[in-house]
Amino acid sequence: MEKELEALQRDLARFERRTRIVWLAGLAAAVIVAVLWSGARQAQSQSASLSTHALVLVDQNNRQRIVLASDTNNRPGIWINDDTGKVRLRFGFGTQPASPLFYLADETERPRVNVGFNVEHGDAQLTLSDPAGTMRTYFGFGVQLQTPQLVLSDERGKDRVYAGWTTGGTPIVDLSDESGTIVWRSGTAGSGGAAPGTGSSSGGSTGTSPGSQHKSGAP
Amino acid sequence: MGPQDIQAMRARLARAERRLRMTSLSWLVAVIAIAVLWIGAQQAQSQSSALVARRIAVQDQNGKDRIVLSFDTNNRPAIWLRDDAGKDRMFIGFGKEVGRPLIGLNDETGRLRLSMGFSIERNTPQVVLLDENGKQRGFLGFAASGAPTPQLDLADEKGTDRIYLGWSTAEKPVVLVSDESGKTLWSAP
Repeated sequence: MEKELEALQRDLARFERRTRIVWLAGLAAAVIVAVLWSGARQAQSQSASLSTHALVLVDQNNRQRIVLASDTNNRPGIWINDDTGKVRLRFGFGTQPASPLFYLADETERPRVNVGFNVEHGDAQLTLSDPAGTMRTYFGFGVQLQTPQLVLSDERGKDRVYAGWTTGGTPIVDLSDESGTIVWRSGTAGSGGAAPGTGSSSGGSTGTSPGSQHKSGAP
Repeated sequence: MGPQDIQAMRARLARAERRLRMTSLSWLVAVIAIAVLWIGAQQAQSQSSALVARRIAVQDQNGKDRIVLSFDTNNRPAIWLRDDAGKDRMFIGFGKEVGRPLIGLNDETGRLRLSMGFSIERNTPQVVLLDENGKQRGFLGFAASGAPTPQLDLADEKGTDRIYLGWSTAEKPVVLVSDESGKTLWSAP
């Protein structure tokens, strides 16, 4: 009986030690759970706002298709690439001056539609270029007068259609030949054009007034 | 070993049993919590192919937000590009009133100088150029009323249309040149 009790006492002591170890392990597990939990909370809070130096969206083949990052001048830009990895659309800033711009490029990465600001005065402009890179359409402001103008050019870059202001401050529409000679000019008072304005041309009352007003059409 | 020792041993045994019960319960809770967190972590890992956030900012080397992808005050998605001074210079998003897509370019003072988007009235595409005073100087788009015909308008610094290429109300192509008061000086044909 005495021996059995002693054995029981030893077993009990061992049992107590083991229980203590298991309890300590439980405490460690609780700490791990707490750490994981706080990590999960942090991850959750980050999903509301994410800040980074570059963000790249890749396609199923792991190719970069949309890149949000800074250019070599530390200016922000967005590049959108086609299937072959060529930049086809770019939003960003020009090098000099650092004005915002965006362009659409063809499959050779040549910008074909360019929207931004001119270098001289920082006026807004839109240009369209042909496959050779020659600017064929310019919609913006003149460098000298800073008046709005539309210019259509031929494949050599010669201006063939011009709508805008003369240096004398008269609004005109010009058509030119290949050599740049004006072959037709809209008539305005004092400009000596094809049909001198009378101040009340055949417009208005006979139905040749502008189709409508666009003024309220701003987005 | 007397009855007192046996009693003490019984007490120790009862205490050890209680602890074991508590520990077992704690373990059960911990295992459940770890399992839940593990599943969550697995899910989060599988979502890494899609980045989900309400606002994403790309910062420059100085830690300033330069590209912001977020929502405007009307809860419409938008992208803002900012210059070195932190001014919004480009906006890609949706218009305030009817929520149509638009791209806007601002000058260094933050004033809108070029806008590409859709008209409010007819939802037709258009490009608008504005000068440094905010006056609309160039318009390439479609008529806001009547037949939806394309047109080009060039205006002077007061905002008066001086050159018009487009269609007349009689739906014929026309070129008009006007004076400062908006009176037609010349037209063709």
